[in-house]
Amino acid sequence: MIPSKFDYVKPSSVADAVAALQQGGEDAKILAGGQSLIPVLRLRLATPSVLIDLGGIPELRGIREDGDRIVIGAMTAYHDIIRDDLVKQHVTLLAQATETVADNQVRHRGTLGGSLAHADPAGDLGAVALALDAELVIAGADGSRTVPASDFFVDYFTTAIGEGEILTEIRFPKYTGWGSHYEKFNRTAQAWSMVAIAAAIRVEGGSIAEARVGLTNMGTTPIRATGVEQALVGQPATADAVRAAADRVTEGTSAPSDADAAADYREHLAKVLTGRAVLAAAG
Amino acid sequence: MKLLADMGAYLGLVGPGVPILGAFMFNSIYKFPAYKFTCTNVFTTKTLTDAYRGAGRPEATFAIERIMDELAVELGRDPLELREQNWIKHEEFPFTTVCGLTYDSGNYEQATQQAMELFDYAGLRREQEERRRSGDPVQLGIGISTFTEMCGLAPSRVLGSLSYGAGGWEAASIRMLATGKVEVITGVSPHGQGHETAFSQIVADQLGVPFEDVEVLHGDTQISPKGLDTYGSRSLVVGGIAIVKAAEKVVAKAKKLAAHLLEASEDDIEFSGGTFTVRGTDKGKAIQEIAFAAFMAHDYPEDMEPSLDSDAVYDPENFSFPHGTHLAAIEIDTDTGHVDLRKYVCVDDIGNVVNPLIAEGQVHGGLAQGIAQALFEEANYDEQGTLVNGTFVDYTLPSAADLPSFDTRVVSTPATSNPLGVKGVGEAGTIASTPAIINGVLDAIRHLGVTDVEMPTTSQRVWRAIQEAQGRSTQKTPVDTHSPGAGLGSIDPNNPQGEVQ
Amino acid sequence: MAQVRVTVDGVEYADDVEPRTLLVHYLRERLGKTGTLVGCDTSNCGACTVHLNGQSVKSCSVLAVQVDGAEITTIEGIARDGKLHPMQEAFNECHALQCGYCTPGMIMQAIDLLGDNPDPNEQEVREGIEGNLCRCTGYQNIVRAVQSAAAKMKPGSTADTQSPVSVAGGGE
Repeated sequence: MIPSKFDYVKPSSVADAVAALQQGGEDAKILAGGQSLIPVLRLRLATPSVLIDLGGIPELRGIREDGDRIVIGAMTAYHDIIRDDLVKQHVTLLAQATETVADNQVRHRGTLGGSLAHADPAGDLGAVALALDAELVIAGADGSRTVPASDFFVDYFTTAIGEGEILTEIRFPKYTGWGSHYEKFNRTAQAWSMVAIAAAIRVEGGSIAEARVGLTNMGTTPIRATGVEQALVGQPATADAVRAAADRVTEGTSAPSDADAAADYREHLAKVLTGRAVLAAAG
Repeated sequence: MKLLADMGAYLGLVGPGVPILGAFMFNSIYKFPAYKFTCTNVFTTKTLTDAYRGAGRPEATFAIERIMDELAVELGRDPLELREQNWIKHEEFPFTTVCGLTYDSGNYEQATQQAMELFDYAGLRREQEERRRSGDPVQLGIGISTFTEMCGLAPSRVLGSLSYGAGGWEAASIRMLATGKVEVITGVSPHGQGHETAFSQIVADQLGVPFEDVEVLHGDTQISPKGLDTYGSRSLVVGGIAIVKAAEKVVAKAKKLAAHLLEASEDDIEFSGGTFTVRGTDKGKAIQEIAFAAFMAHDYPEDMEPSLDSDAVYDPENFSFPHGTHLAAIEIDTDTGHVDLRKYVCVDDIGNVVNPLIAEGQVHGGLAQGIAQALFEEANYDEQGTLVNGTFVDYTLPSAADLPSFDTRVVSTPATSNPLGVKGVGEAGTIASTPAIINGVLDAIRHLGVTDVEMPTTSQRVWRAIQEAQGRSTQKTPVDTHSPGAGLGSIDPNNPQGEVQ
Repeated sequence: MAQVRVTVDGVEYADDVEPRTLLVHYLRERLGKTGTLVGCDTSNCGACTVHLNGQSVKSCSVLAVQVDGAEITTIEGIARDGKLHPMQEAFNECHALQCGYCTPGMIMQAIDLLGDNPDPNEQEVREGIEGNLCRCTGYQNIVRAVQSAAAKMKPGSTADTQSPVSVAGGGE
């Protein structure tokens, strides 16, 4: 199908974008990479009155170092994130997870900010942002505010971004020297995650000093597996210890049932894959 | 054999006939002394069904090849040995099967021998044994499918006996232009099968003209008004032979004119490499010269028309029976249920091969399609009969990253039912591969107590089968579950058609 | 309506388009470039793949208005002076197409893949084209063709490099 009619504006600054958003009201939608939105529009699952294209705002793109943070503009494409030296060195998990998203063509257009704002629980990058305690910077008419990832994901396709607000950048703490791994389980190569585990582990003297574990598609939002993290700290990075800790992965989750995986299978997968992800991350 | 065939909500073009076509194939390559087949076509509130690559033969091959594997398990026999014990031996061809078809030629021993070597059957069995012994979480299964099929549809009288709504002949016309170029009009209709190439080769061979001088016309009914089209692996086996028949008529006419022009008797004229020569002399004329002479018509015998153009309508006497041995190495991660096709080897006997590259391409495509049916694809309906996965978001067609490269070979025992000795290859891959995969999946986890896994063998189905075999119950997928889809990774089940926030 | 100025296959166009017009429909219906195909409704098949500012994209998932000021190459723009692009030649020689429906998108993506990775192994090729679905070939000859083209297109190869060859991929 083709999308229903909408107006289109392409502001050249964040302030203009925010103004356009306010003017558009509740039927305005942000266009980032369009790799989720345009398919939705084509099936008329959304019928916005106006699309606000952020593609003309250069300061929303780019990756930079800001002290102890790696800052990624919301409109930075997956393709660039995967190849960026700062990301590869300091936020490796993000590069690993982004590489698994969809396919090449989608990765040329899709953006980190777009993915996080869309907040599909099966989207891969929410779990990474959550696991790595990212901070999300949101601009509105009254200026900018920063929301920690733990407060950002509210429900299905619902984030802390309010009406008239735009996600402008995502700030990641540095995890230089940590081991990490994104374990994704899907039905075919380009398919969405059935379940996926984002794991970043710091090993010291043969045992796990710190652990960050995020879950994709185990609830209505990405989920932080704090139970697993707690169970891992102080453990040796051995298969038995890790698998025992991985058993706690279902705490705080409400695994959905869909055609690919009923809830019990999903929970089982989460346990198995958490063990694998953590072991791979721990090297 | 009792078959219930799902027709969907109403009858398609050949939908009701598909099970009947398959009826002849349940006995496959084996010597059954007795065979009874009944079929009930059933209307269901679903999309209609119709011929899909293989049309009845994949279903039959799936049934018999699954039965052979299950029988081998029950009898404690090696599944390949059991097959060989029961199949038609090379020396026994031509062989009339229990359902009255006469297989003209074949060599199941040769195809199987080669496949086993290429596959390293013995080595993989050893590896399988080792993994079972050590309780490796990744288990190995070997899937087997020794198939034959009936194609080159079809002898018209057989279609008549089945009350089919048309015959099975094919038409061809060949026009030799005054320039010496050749126009070939065929009633088959390529959509990627390379007919123009293969038919140009055949005509170049038959008429002794350069390959580049042949043009194949098809598709536009103003140009090619007569034909029964492309399906059932018939374009070469029926359409190609019609072209051969037409070419033979062209040569016969040209010979008559050549004899006249060379002032010799027709019996003394030899035709080879595109040239007519008077035996024992160096007097000769190229076929292009004859074509020009026909056009000019200044000097031609009284009892012929000044034209070499010829038509043929060829009605095959028999089906053709390609066969093959397919072997698949399947790895199953028993912790997740994930199925991985590690290796796929096939040796197919398709009679004489006109174009190896084209034949191989057909095998590749057929394999991908049949393997996808076993591993990835399914049509899911809800309780109202609505297809719930009607887009590529959740109708899982594999990408290149989901399939390995296939090791495919071809051997030839020429068909004896047509002058080219060809058997057809378009559907072989799809017919053979699906049971090979399913047999492999079961072979990998049967020792855990699993007796069957529904197709496609998704990781969830495999996992559930293992759990249940080991006495652990699993959740069922709720009835009103929608697939993830519609451009989204997941759908809010409270609002499946609702707006995205 | 919105104004779009865009260069497609070397030619500049200026048009008024509805914002909801998909790039693939703009190319096919407004510009008559039917070499780029629509294969699905859900951005999965990749048959619509073109190059946008040097990167492969699914033109069904881009709005025409988004490409204002951009440069686009379609399957119709990669041959040079009547000579096929090495990727097109390789697809022909390796029988990497049958019905041809996936082929324009497949070729455009394959060219992009080689821009990023000039010497991919089999697995890298397969992953590189995972966004392009094919039903006919089973992908095997496509993989062969891509690797064959890679060999021809490598700097220092003995292939005929008379005409400059369009290689996309890499940064924006």
